[in-house]
Order: sequence, then C-alpha cells, then structure tokens
Amino acid sequence: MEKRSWLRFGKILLLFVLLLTLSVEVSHVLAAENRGPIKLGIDTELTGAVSETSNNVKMGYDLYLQEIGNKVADREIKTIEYDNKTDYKIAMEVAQKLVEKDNVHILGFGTSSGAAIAIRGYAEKMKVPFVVMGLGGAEQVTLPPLKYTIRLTYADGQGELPLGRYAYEKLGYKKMVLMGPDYAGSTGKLWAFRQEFEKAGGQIVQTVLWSLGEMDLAPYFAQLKPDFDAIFPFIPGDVSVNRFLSQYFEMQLDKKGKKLCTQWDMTEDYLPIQTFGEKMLGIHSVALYNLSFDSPENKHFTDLYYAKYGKKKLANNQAALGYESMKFLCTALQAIKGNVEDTEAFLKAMHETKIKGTCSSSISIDANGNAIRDFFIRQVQKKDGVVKNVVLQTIPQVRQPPQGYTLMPGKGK
Amino acid sequence: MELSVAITQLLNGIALGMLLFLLGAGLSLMFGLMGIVNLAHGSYFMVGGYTGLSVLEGTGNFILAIFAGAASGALLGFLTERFLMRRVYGLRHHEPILLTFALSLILSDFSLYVWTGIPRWVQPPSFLSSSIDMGGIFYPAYRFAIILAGVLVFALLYWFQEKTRWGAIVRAGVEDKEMATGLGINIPMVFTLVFCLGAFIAGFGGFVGSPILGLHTGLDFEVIMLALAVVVVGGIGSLPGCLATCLLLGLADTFGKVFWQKYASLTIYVIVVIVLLVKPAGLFGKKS
Repeated sequence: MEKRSWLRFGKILLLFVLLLTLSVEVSHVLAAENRGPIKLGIDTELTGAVSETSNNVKMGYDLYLQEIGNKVADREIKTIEYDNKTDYKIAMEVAQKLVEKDNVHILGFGTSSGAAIAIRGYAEKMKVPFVVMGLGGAEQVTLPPLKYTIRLTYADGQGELPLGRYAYEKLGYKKMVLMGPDYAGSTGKLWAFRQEFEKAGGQIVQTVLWSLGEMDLAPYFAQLKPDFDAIFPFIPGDVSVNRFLSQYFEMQLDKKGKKLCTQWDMTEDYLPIQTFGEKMLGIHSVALYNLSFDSPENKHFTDLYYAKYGKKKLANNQAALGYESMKFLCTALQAIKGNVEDTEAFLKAMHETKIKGTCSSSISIDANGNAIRDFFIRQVQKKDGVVKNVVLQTIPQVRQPPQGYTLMPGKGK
Repeated sequence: MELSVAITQLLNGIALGMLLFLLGAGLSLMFGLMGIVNLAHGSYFMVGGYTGLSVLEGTGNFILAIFAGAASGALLGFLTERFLMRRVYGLRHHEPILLTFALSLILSDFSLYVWTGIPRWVQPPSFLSSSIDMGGIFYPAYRFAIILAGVLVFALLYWFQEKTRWGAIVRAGVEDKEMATGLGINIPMVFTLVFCLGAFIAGFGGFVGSPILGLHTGLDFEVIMLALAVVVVGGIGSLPGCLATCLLLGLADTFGKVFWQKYASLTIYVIVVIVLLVKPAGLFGKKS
C-alpha cells in the first residue's frame, strides 16, 4: 500500500514536472511573441559615392539573415533600413529617425567613417548600441573608445601595418611612393603603411595626393620621380580604382618595373581582375577575405552567395564582411536568448562573442570595440588558367594600432 | 620642373583639352543654334561609350565600336529632338532644361538596367597600348590618338560649317532664325541635323574617352558639368573659340594639378566664375 502510494506520488510528481516544463516552454514562446521583433536599424549608403561598397555589404548581411530565416532565439529580426545617400548630414538624420521614431534596439551602420564618427557620440548619448557593419576606416570610429560603439570590420592601419613590413622584408622594396586622394580615409592608410615600412628599414621617397573624385590622374603620374621600386596607393571606390589602374597601365609604369603593393580593393577578383585580366598579374595586396580561400566557411558563404545572387558578380570582400558582421551580431543575440532590451547584457555578449570568419580563423572584439581578425597578404597569379588572388601569408589576429598611429601630420583630423 | 616633365604635362593638358572638345563641341553647337541647354548631353556621351563597349565585346573591332558609339549618340539626339524638344521650342528657358534633365535621369537608369552598375573599362587597341618615344620622353600612344581625333573632328566640323551649303544654313540659323526661315530654309530639319551631329560627336567622345575615363553610371553627370563649363567659358558661335576654350581648360586643369594640387579640382570652375564676372558672353562669344 505504502509502495503504491509512493508510486502514485511519483507519477503525480512526474506529471507536475512535465506540466511545469511545458508551461515554461509555452511561456517562453508567448514571451518571445510578446516581446515583438528585434529591431535592427541600418543607416547605410544605398546611393551616392560609396553605394557600390555599401550595396555589396548589404548583399552579405541579407544573405546571413536569409540563412537564419530572419530569426534568432525564436525572435524575429526586423531590419529597418534607410539610405543616407553617402551624406553626413542625412546619415545623422537617419540615425535620429531610427532611434527616436522607429525605436530600434541596435543602430547598425554602413560604410562611411566620417558619418560614423559623427553618429557614435549621438548613440552614446541615447545609450543605443552602435554597430558598424560595413567597411572600416578611420581610427576615430573606435578611438578613444565609447561604450556603445562596436566596429565589426577593421580600422585603418590594421592591414597596412603588416603590408608595410612585408613590402620591405619579403618583397625587397627599398624606396616606395604613396599615392591617393587627399582626405582622412586615405591619408590614414598611407600614413600607417609609411610608418611600418620605414620602421622595417624602407624609405618613402614621395607622397602624391589629389582631390577626391579626380577624373584624369595622368598629371599626377607624370610628377613621379624616377627612383623608386613600388607604389602603395589607396584608392577608394570602384570607379576610382578602375581609373587609377587604367592610367597606371597607360603610363606603362608596370612595364617600367614600378610595382603596385596595395589594399584589397584594387585587386579584387570581382572587379579589377575581371576588367584588366592578366595585366594585374604580380600585384600584391593585403586583404581580409580571399575568394579562392580554402575553408568550409568560405565554401558555405560562396555557395549561399551564388545560390541567391547568381555568378554575374563574384563573391567579394565587402559581401563577406557584411555576412560576417550579421553572423557576429546574431551570435551575440543568440547568447542572450534574443533579450536585446537588456542593453548591458547585449554589449557584454558582443565583447565575449567569437566566431569563425569566412577566411579568418576567428573574429572577436577588443576592449575598444574594434574587430580582431586575420589578414592575408596575397598576390594576383594565374593558376589553372584563372587569374586570381592567391594567399601568400596569413597574418593572424591583427588588432587596431594605438590611438594616433594613423594620423598623418597635418591631416586626418 | 624638368623639361621632359613639362612637355609631358603639356601633352596631358592638350589631350584633356581635346577630350573636352569632343564632349563640349556638340553642346556648344546645339546651344548656339537653338539657345537651349541640353542636360542630356552627358547621357549621349555615356550611352555612346557603353554601346561602343558592347559592340567591341561582340565583334572585337575597335573602329566599328567607335562608329556604333557615335551612331547611338546620334540616334538618341534624333529621338530627343524629334519627339521631345520640338514640343518645348518657343517656351521659356526652364522647360527644355527640366525636360532634358528628366531625360538624363531616364537614360541613367536605362544604362544601369542594360549595362549594370559595375564600372567598366575599354582596352585600347593593341597598337595604341604602348608609349611613343620622343627623344627619351615616353608618352602614351592612346593619348596622342585622342589629340589626333580631336584635331580631326575639329577639321571636319570646320569644313562642314565653313565650306558646305549645310554649314552655311546652320550658320544662318545661328545668326537669325526668322530670316533664315523667311528665305525658305527648313529650320526644323536643320535643328534635327544639328542635334544629331552634336550627339554623334558626344557618343564618339564617350567611347574614345572610355580607356581613360572608364564607364560607369554617374559618368553622365560628371561630364555634363565640364561640357557646361566649356560652353560658359567659350561662349557660343565660334568653333575655333570652342577648341581654344577646351585647350585652355585642359591645360589649366593639368597645370593646376602640378602647382596647386590641393585646390586643383576647382581650377576649371574658378575660370568659369571669373569669365562669368568679367565677360559673361564667354571668351569667344558674340554679345546677344
């Protein structure tokens, strides 16, 4: 009798536990539904000077959102996206609209560093996490650090530092020339390269700067003094890259042995290599992504990319950054079970998150809120009949240089 | 500055000037005859470039591509004049401006749809891909070809304007439309012809200039500002004046890049402002 009553008690207890579990699950689901969607505002450059870049980044983050069915921790992610037309003033207005009218939980941002520098102070004031998901750039986006600002991409100097040393030590360039448009986004990169190249033992013999948006660069090429080994140019935007390269080839600088050693934009597989083909052979660059990189994550990314967008435009660095940024963000949201209303927990999760990139062995955030990731030194080569970038060396886990490192004297403020 | 660098920069300035001439001559002609500012002129330049690129990719023939680019410009010019501009002649000045601005937006989206937004570049023919040695000064052969193309277009236009009956009719139209009509000249047909000719030169320039400027959406608006600068600085009514203006602007821009790099992008527009203040009719324009 006593045994039977224990059995009955056990059954009742089991039923109670089951009911309790069920009710907790149901309450979670109901709570998730009641919480409404996670509102992710995106202030980006869908038109204007850097629209090509920002649209590529968008292709990347849209791809990841599609992959996870626009849901994280059973909670819908609602993206509210506005075009800031690559205009600083509009970018600030868009940020204010997203935060104050749309009440977004997270303020995502596209490409333009200048606008990001302006908005981060506002995000701090409004206590809204400000996450730069597109291209990187000026050090001032994360330095000095602000609690609510996180850049999931990169900062000026992160790629140029390893490249500057590589140019001297491995490529044997002793004298180099810097070329680029005269604005902070360019001079920061040129200056970072210069410091590391000279620290390694090299010498920058000339710096040629011009106004942003120049159509004809021939007068600048004509000013180059003859005694140098290679050029480190920073050229923003696909149109300008095409112009620089066409005029570099037109001036026969490649045939005169004046090499190019540059940032990834200028040797991307999807555009300059498609355009200039074998003329590109031999050019070295530093990059965060490489199309032919052999990793399961890159294969997964490129398969998804081509399934969604077709092969008309090859997968690229910018789309990979967009994809990785959204993956990082959603991984952090998953860690706090989608409870984005708890801003402190979200920021903590962002700082503790670590993901595998498409090519990078891992991506995480430093104490200042800037991404730590692998960089790759690569060269355009012809392999199996295809002209493409081939990775020569991986520089693991590169951090943002210290404050002030990328500020060219008299520029970059 | 070393002599060799100075000569190179001089050639750079002349080549840019000739490119400006290919861009601006047609607009100057249209403005001179009809007094309208055609803001779609940059679109003829861009569409001409893109059409030439498509033909080049399809046939591999650079010469054919040049003609295709020029012909596409002429066709657009014809369609613009025949079906749009004729409806606004005689109206106030802003109607043609608004109409051609709207047309330029449509052509910009059309180009985006047909040729996508990916920036393109045209490889010059192999025999023009090298440099010419001028006693130790190496200068790109393609830029010489542009200078030559500019000279050729100028010579043909000059011959057409000054030595042919059609040219005389156009000049008569520029001088006095009413009187020309009174003499039995079919002015609407002259208008169409001039529009086609102007757009033909723009389409030609668009393709010929593409190995230097590249092709991308937005090129139309980039170049229309320069074309307008040519018309404002040069004034209307003189073809040699237009050529001289283009060379002046090309050289000023180039030497601006040598001597005051920081402000070089403003050089052309500073000249525009000075000319507007000092000689509003333009350096070679006739007072209206």
